[in-house]
Amino acid sequence: MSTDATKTTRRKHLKVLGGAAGASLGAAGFLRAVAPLVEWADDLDMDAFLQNHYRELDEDSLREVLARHEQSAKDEYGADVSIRDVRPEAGVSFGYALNLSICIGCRRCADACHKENNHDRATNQSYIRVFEMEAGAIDFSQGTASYDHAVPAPGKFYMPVQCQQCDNPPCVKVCPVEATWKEDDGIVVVDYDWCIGCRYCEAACPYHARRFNWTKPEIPADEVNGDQAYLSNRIRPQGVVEKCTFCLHRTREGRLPACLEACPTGARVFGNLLDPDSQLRWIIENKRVFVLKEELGTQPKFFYFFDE
Amino acid sequence: MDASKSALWQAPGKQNYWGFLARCVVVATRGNMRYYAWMSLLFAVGLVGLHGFAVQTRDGMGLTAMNDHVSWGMYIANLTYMVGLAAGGVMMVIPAYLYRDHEMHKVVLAGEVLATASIVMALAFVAVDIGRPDRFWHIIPGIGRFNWPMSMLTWDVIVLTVYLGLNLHICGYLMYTRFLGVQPSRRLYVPAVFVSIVWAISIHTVTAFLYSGLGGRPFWNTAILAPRFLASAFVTGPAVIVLTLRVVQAVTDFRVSDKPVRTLLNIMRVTVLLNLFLLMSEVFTAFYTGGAHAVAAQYLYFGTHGYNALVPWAWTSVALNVAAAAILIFSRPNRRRVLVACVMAIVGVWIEKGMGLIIPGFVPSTLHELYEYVPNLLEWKITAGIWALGLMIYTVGAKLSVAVYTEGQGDNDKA
Amino acid sequence: MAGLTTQESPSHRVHENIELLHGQLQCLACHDRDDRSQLHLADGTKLAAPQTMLLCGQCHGPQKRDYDHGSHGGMTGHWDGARGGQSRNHCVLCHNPHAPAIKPVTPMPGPVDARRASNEH
Repeated sequence: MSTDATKTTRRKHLKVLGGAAGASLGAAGFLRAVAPLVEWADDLDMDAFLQNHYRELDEDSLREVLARHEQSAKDEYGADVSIRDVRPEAGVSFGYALNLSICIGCRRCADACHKENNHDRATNQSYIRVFEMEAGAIDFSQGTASYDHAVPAPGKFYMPVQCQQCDNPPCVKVCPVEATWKEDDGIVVVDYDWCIGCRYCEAACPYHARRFNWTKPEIPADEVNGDQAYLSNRIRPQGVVEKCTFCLHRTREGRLPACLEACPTGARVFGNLLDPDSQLRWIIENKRVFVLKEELGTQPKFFYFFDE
Repeated sequence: MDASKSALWQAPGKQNYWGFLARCVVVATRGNMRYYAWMSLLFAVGLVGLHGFAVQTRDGMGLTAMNDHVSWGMYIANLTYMVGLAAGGVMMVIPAYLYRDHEMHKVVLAGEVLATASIVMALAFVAVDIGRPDRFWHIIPGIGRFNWPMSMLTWDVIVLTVYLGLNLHICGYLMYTRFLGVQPSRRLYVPAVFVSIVWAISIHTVTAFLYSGLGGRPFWNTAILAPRFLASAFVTGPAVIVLTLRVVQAVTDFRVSDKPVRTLLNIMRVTVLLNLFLLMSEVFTAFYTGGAHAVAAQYLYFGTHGYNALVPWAWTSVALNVAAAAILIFSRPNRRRVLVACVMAIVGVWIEKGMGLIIPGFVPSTLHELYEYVPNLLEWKITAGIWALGLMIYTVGAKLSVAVYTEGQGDNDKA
Repeated sequence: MAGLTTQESPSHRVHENIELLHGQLQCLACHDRDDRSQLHLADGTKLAAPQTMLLCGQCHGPQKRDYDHGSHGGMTGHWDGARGGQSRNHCVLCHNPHAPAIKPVTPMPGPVDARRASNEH
């Protein structure tokens, strides 16, 4: 026969036991739940974690950063790459023009971008989306980027769209950490090591120019383009946003961007808006150029035109 | 504020802040079987969500249903809703302090606790949506780079953090003085209360401005987005408090007169109509004008080009909001009808402001492409986990608040 | 160099297979009567090999003008003349002079967009 006192003691002991059991179960459950995070944290590098914004890196730090990235490209992709830091030049403001009369929609530009910029293979990612549009209007709601027939098709015209490198970029306005900004030569760049992946810029861009790395990009070693720059085509990590950089690793050295070189018809024209003798300036002065969504006030640097 | 100590708080132990915290832990971890079952269930769901987040962080957000066309989804939808709930929670404070409604004081803490739990949930929804959580320090002003004042997200970081701080201070201070059995000093909490009233408006206005400032997204680029947000916040805040009071009075000995609930229902009668009116304004403007900018609204309510995943949601939300309004305005309020109306309002606004606002902003895309988004299991798991976390905080907070106001009960509270 | 078609090399055999779809033009409009491998302008001036684009430009003035300004015809190289030149496609790299209209080609694969609910367009 148990007295009230024993009953209370027994209850108390049961409570303590129950509490301990519950707590241990909880702790065990918690550890199991966070196991993938522990795995992920193991891959993180302390130097990478502490790395400052690109604009705050001095020469030595930048060199270390580039070396570290070259090493990870080797470790993670088996590719030998060289990453340099290419700065804008004075007296240059880049612009791009696109001739809608002769674009045939062959998508070689998108493909060249895919290869030049070390995009993920599985998704055939590219900064360029080519739209097949109905002749007679510029109406994207009648357009499609997933056409799959011989081009050019009758009654259609083709409109590649990529980052417009706006002079008043909404993406730059909204980035909370200044991971994206407009450089002096007009190119809007992203510091892939600073971006936190909030995708506010992707929501803000009116031209669907931004891409997010939903997974770690997968590229076979023999397909990696090893001629890379920090702000453009080096292999980007998972969880950051990226965009067309007008191939600044080429164009800041005077060369044409990859998309333009791939275009067989010559629909693409690139150059320095500040040079009155440039091919681009001739187009702006002699063809009737227009920009997309002009009413938004973004001031794009990508000019479309028809020959007639 | 009543200066007498609640009996539950009277326990041996230091009469200082550490003693107070220790007592809070005791109150939070002591309860009946129903309480333990509830908290264990929430903890389990929380773990499921945490695991989902761990997998998502390691393997990438490609595991969700989001893509480059619909790049925000379930998480941001819930973030938006929770900010609204946090703002609405403070509605109780206005009658209590502005109109010196003394009965309302008992529910003030409930409003503050709701605001606290909601802000934590909102911040959690942001945390699970960023691609690189390891880079969180980049957004800390002074340490990272803070694009203030241009980026509305930086405004959001400031207002949400300060609001959390305000509410924690007010709750904590009122509970602490009750613990000590002293009269709280008005100087130490009344200014904070008035600031929190204004601040509640700001948190939801800033969140609305996040969306309404984007010219490339015509569905969001509307001046009435901020008013809509506030109207719906002031529907759901009171609704949750009314529900909470009902639950608390069912499971504890805590009692409050009908007056606070009647005040809250009166507030809701106005805000639920205002919310419907603003919705109607939005719908009229979209459909009467028509054209490309109306495609998102078309997609939401009627579907377009064979895509119609959101249509049942949209109409359910409209039906719930209208029904809640009808019950509150036209019927004689009995306890059951009131509960039903509150639940309807809570769910209706969750759909309208969550999935019904975020997703159509991305459908069609800026280049008029149509990609549907249906949240997948991983997103539901993580969302459920955060809701569980929030409910745990809310339950503990409610339990502490009840303990603060329950007198002469000893250690046998039923919560 | 990017291109779509290759230029046919003239030979007796090819004469039989030449499809002439170039407006109202006949052979002697471009080919010299005595030396068919020699091209000439409308006024009879014989053209050296590097000048053959002038022939096309006689009628297709706008395209030739655009070509000269970098607005027609593929190119590789530099936008900045000070740092390098450009390689330009010859007209006939893409336009078969006998049937110049560009034939439709198969485009490169399009974007692989995940999670479309249904096909459209």
